[in-house]
Amino acid sequence: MNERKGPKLKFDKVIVSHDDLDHRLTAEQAAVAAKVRESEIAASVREKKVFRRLGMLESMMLSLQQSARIAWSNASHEPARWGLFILNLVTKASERESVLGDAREQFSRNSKRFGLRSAQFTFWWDVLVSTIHFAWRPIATTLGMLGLGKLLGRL
Amino acid sequence: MLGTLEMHVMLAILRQNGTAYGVSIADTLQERTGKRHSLGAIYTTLERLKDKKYVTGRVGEATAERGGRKKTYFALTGVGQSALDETLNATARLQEGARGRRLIGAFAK
Repeated sequence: MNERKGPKLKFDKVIVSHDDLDHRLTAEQAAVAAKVRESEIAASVREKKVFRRLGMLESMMLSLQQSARIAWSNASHEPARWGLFILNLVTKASERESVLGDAREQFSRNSKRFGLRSAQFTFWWDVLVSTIHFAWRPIATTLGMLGLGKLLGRL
Repeated sequence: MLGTLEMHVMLAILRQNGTAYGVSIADTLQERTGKRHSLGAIYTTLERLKDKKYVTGRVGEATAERGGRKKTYFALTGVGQSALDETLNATARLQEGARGRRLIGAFAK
């Protein structure tokens, strides 16, 4: 007879799990398997906890990112204040209201149509070109009054 | 005689039938001529036209999109319309001869 070595337990053979119904082990093997299973279960529980915490962190990060993005997009529908300030300086009082309103409207439309960066670039380009146009107007008038325009034209 | 941009701005105003303002004029010019003009260019042209009494402006409504600032709607005056007609007729008369020449030149090649 081939006697199996192992601790003396009440039952010689133990059923380990439902899946292993047909797989009968010695008491020692069963104890080892049970320990392994326990440690596996503990590890999986720990993993689950870690994953749950990671998930919570991830969702928090996502919600923060989302709220930051919303705040950014809301804030960025306004054109740069410096740009508006420059336009405010170079325009006449009679046309200031409509020019500034038009600049804001154009920026808002462009940001919706082409995106924020493109809208910002277009806005600043517009401010630059408009400033040249508006600033040149009094210079040209003054030159014209002094007759320098004609003099420069002859040269 | 009107300058090119003056003529284009006046035509854009005419197309919009009393609802033309800075942004809409700029949009129409870009759509029709393919060239983008800054608000500065449009407003200085409009001011020149106002000085010549070709264009009048009336204050319109304010919207949230504009930061609560009011629009100025532009319309052509009678003098402005006749100046525009004169310029367009002159351009058309000049085009008649030029087109023929261009065709002859194109066939000759």
